[in-house]
Amino acid sequence: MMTMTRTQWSNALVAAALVSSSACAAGAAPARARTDAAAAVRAAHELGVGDTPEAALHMAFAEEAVAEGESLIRSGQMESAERALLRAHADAELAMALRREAMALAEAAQSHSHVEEQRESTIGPDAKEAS
Amino acid sequence: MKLERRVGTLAIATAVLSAGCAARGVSPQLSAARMIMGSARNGSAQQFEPDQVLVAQRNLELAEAQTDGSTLEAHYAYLSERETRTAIANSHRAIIEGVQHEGRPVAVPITAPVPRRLSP
Repeated sequence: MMTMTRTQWSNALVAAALVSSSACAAGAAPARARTDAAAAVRAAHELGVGDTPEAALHMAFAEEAVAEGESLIRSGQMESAERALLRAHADAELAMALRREAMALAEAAQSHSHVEEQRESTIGPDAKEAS
Repeated sequence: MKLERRVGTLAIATAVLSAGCAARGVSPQLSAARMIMGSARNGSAQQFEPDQVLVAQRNLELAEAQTDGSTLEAHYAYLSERETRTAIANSHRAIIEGVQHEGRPVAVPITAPVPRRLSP
């Protein structure tokens, strides 16, 4: 059976370290950031962010950042790609929050007008003057 | 003579470069993030979405720790600003829904006869 000398072991370790460091330099694609950004963008679309102007604007930023991230992944700039995808995720989350806020506001306004209608039909149109 | 000229040129170049660095301020993203964080801390976001505000605060601290005007500073500040605004929007929604929820029982007497005047 072949045994390795101390020098061979150290050469092997140096080679392994070099391979490992070159792999880190090239970097793997930021899978987590990519998945999170894609999921947030999809969820935002499903929520109908396009119907709220401010939310739609942030959705556009998110999609732009996703495209930037994908382009950076293709060119091997993984750290920059990850940052772009994190920004995309943050914009998609903001788009959803703005959409939900607008929906809650619309629902509140609708229920308020419904209450007002009921009030008028029950106590008459001059209720405001009387109260 | 040549050496003196080279040293002089190097000194001028260093001075120009360091002046340029000194003049470079923080990124617009950091200014925006600081401003929005200030209003979140004093508003409903701190009350209704403290965890989200804390996450945004951490990114703001990371931005503050970077070199002024750097790409990383702008990146962390951008995240912080978006997260703070998300917290603010979520807190607004919580308020709207809370008011609506509290308002529902008030709607109950509407179906029952309501006196035109409470007092003569």
